[in-house]
Amino acid sequence: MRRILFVDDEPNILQGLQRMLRSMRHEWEMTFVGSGQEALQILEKSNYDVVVSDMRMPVMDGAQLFAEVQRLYPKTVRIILSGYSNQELILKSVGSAHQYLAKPCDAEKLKGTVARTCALRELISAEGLELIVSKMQTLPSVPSLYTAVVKELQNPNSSLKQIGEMISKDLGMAAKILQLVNSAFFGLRNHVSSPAEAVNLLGIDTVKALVFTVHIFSLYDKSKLTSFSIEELWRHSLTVGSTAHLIAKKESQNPKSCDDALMAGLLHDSGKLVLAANLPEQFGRAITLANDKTICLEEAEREVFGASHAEVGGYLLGLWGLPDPIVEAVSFHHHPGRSLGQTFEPLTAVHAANAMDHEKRSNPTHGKASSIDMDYLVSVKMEGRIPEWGEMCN
Amino acid sequence: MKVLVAEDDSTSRNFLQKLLTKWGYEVLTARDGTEAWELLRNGEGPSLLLLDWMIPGMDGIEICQSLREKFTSALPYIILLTAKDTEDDLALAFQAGANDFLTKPYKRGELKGRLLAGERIVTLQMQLTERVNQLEKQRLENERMNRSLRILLQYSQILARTDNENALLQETCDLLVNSGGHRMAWVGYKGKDDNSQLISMASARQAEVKLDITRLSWGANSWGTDGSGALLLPDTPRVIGNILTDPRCKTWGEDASNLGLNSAIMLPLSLGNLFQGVLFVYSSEVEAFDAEESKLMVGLADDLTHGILSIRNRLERKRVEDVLRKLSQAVEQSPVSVVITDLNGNIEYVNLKFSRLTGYSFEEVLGKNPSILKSGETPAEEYARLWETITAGEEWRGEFHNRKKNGELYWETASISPIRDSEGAITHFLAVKEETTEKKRVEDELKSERHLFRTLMDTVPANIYFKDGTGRFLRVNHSMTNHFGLSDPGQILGRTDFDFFSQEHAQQAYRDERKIIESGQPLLDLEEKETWPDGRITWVSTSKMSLVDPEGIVIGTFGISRDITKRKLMEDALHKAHREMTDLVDSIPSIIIKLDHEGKIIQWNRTATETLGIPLAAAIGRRLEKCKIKWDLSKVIGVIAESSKDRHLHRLEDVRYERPDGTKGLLSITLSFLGREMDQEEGLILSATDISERRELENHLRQAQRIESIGQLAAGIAHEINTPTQYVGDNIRFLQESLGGLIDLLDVYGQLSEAVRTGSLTPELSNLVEASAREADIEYLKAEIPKAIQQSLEGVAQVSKIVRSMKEFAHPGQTEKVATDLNRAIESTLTVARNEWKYVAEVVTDLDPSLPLVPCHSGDFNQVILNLLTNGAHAIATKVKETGEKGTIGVQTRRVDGWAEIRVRDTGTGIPPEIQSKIFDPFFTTKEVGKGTGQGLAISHSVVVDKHGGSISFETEVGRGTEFIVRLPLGEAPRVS
Repeated sequence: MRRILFVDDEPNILQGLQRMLRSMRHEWEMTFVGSGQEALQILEKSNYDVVVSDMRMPVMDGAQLFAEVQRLYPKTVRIILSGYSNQELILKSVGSAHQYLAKPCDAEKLKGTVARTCALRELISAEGLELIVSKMQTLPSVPSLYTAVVKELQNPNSSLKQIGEMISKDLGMAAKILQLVNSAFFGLRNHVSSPAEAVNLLGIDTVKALVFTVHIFSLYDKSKLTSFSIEELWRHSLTVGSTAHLIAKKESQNPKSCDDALMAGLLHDSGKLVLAANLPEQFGRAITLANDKTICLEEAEREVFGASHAEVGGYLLGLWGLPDPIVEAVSFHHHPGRSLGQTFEPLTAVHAANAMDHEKRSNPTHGKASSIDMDYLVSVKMEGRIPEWGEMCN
Repeated sequence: MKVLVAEDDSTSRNFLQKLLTKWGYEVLTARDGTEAWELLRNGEGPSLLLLDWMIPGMDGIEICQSLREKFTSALPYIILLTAKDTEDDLALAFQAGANDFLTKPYKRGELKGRLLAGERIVTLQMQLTERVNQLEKQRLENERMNRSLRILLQYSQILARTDNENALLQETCDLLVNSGGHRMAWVGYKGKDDNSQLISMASARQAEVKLDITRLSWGANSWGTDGSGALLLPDTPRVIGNILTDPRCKTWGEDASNLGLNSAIMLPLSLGNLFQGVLFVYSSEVEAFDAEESKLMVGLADDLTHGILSIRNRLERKRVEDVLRKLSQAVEQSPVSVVITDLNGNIEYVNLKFSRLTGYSFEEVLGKNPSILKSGETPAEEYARLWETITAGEEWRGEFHNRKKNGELYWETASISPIRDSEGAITHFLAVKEETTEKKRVEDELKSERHLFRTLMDTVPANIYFKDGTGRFLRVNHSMTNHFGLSDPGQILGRTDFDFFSQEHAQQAYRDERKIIESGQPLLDLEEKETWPDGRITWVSTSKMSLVDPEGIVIGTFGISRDITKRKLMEDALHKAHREMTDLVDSIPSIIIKLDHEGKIIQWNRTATETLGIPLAAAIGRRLEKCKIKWDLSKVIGVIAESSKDRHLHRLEDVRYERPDGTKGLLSITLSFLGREMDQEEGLILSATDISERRELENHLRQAQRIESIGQLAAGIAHEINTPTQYVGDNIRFLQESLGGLIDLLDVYGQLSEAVRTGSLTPELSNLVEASAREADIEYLKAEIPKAIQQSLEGVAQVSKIVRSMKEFAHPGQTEKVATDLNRAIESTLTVARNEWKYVAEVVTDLDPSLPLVPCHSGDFNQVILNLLTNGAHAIATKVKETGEKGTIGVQTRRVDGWAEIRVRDTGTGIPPEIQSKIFDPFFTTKEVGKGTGQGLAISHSVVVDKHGGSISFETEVGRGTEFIVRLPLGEAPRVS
């Protein structure tokens, strides 16, 4: 049973939530408290999977509470539920909150968000990884792109279009910016899957504040793990992104789906970045193992970590509230058969694009190249499309 | 003699060879017809031929025929050897060209005889041919001689007849081509400056030669390097036998050959020792210029040079004669006396002028000495010097005082010089003399006049100049020179104003001068500005007049001027100072009016004209009250009177007036008294500014601050509304789910009731009822549903209250004061601003219910209360920081005499003494940049004091808190809101 803690200084809110969520009482064990201090006392006594807190509260506000929770119980998923739209306060919580929900928030959305983050837990059974992912505030970026973005932002005539284009090329920055626009942090509509659109929605001042004050982007430190090339990852991600986009445009009439495919392609290996940045030694070991045994890196990761970069990436992006099709495509990009999909979806495109790029540039230092899951393609009735996709891949 | 034996039978051949060799012949042999033909075909073969008729390859007959076909002369003598001897055979052989016939077998004697006969015939033939050739050569020689003679004859005629050099050259060329039969001939003269050029002077060519030579040059081009240059400038005649093959012509030989120029001769034309040019003759034949022809050509070229020389000599002689004729005429008619003597001084020639002057005719003086003119006035030493000088070969110049034939004395100047022959020996003396008697007199007069003129020019304290018609200085005096900053008048003469002044000035002066010259009208006492190229400016007072020569023709201008720069500069400075002052006063965006001690307007600036609509002319000299200004005149007059009396500064605010366009405005007027200084005239300065805009701006600013604070409030208000919306939604959702469960339960109860009624109650049903009740969570619902409904209603009420308060707070579109319930206004503001204070403070209100309605702008009043509340909340927040404690904000209303008093108290930080005096200043703020504009209290002050005639003050203690006290006059409300 998942344990959820709700924090709000307004008793009527707490009681309302309590009543509304009563139907979930068989799945969730819920606790309702009236202040941050109380919440910390309760957390001290027992573990909670998710904390949902108001932002503006006397004495200790939501950002302060979450900063503490992040420090003390990093595994706990942190969701803001606030009716306050002051940007200063919002920026304060960007680092420590996983997601942001705006009041009034309808029951389905609240239940769905909490349920989804709980379900994400199932992705990773390994204790250590879960901790690392929950703790992550940023995904590291390719240094050259990061520097370019910072430089463009400092330019008094900086162009949103250019910044959007640069961010779109880096999976670290793209993922973070999508997290921010897809949650209710800035009161924007949901499901944005293009970073360029995201930057446009936020506006230059907010992006500047996010980069320079809140530090939502960070640099990848190459020295920690030399056997892993972030440039190669970057190239591969861009290629898979654009190929998946082409495939999706060919197969799907839904433009949102095409955007999702592009973004999922770009982000599909973000788990690798998480592992390389946080557990360089083990990740290095996984690479060596893959080479020695000539198995897929993904299998080697499973052996070393108990989970692969696909799940790690999916978990992180899920925690960050990125759209479901993206999370699904990232999580299952090696084993699309594990998803429940029956028709073409972004996952299909990303899986194929990834396998095709691997085949084309099989990298001997990263073990065996992953291959296309034909059973899955048969199940989504796309088995005949491979040759045409292969053409596009070139 | 060479004999060819053509025989296929080797025995016969060898036999014949030996036999013939023995007989003294040189023998060649051939084994078959083909070999024989090989020896014969090139034409230099044997003269006799013993030919076997039947021979392999070509047979004898074929060889005969082929020889006939190929050669027309010098055919070998052919004897056919054959076994055939029929008549037909013989006919065939002779027809084919055989000369003789020998039937095999033959006798040696017969063979020898036949060979001798053949030999004789061949020899005879050869002699005949040689003779013919000799005759032909003779004939050609004769022909050529004839031609040469003809050419020379023709040429001598040409030379005799032609007196023009160019024509001579052309005729020479024509002759060479037309009569000489040469392909082309041309003459090139050496270029004057550049000796590597030949310029074509004349040329002739046969019609088919398409070539035109104008000049040939060499030097830098290939002609200079390949040796062709030397060909073009030969020092002796040169022959090129074959142009095509001659290495000296390799650069042009092929082109020339294509034109049919195959051989050439180049003949230098030297006049005296001087090389003049070249005659080129080209022939279409190779080696045309053999010794004979060359000789002819050389002779021709010699004749040509002589011809040229004689033409030139003739011309020169004629020219010299002409010059001499002109010279002697000039001397004869010369206006000066000319005398020529021999070496002894005896006169050989005098001209007409001499005779006219002295009265002596030529005949009278011929052979005499010029001393007949001596008057005794010229000293003897002068004559001695004269002789000494001229005999030494030098020219003597001097003056004589001589006597005419009629005894009259006269002055003359003379130049006497020796005349030399072509070897330089002195042969005669020449005297050229001019009478100077009148000139001397005039000179004396002039000298005196000039002295007077110079004295005047150089001493008069004015600049004087004379210019010609084009503006060139003819004469300037020293004063003028100094004016130009120069020391020597020579530096000015011949130049124009353009050399000294700036372009514009010189142009203007030039135009003036043209006008004077054309109209004859002088320009008198003109004040003229002179601008110099270095930017310097001077002023002169000048008169300019036309300069007329003795014949009355205008030849220029002259002028006299005085430098008045100093005076002018002073005038200018004064003028400028005055103008600057006026400009300054005009540029001030306030009305500036100066009144003298009688109250008359003496200054009226542009702003006064524009603002009051009264032009300067209509204002100056009038009294203010006569000016028909549409303003509150009595107020203005009153304060003027007051100011005149107490001589102090006076201010008058918000004086209403009407602008020229009829709109109304407000003036702020200041009056300052003049005349308190010693030398200052008494008077008043009235300055006024239209402050309507300022007042309006103040209004706008107030409005802007309100919008800003409403914007700030909006986020808080959103939160205030979002919170109840959240729980109302949650509760309704809960009620919805609960109702579902209850309805199910009701169904089960319905079944139960039905069972009870029909008496069919079963234990199963009873269990179902219990299970359903448990399922529906009935106990929980009983407890929670009423609370959920209650809280939802509260939430809805909360939202309505906020919305209502918002509307009351904003009070949009109100311009006039209305009677306002201050208590209610305060409560609305508190509600709207709740989010600003609720996290830091409790609010305690003590509102006097008996407070009457107060006339006010309620929007502005709410703004004041909001500002005070926000400041209070901020002060408390600063004090409590993040301790979680809350302060208190107290709001109190009561009636104090004729005032409504509102007190807003906080338990914040208090106001430090050093900034207490500044808190109502605009833009003063203690908050960090970006938080608040610093306008709040300033605007509150303006609203309370300026708009409502109330007062605002505060009491404060650092660390304890602050209380603001606002008082509004109760007054009579114009209408009830």
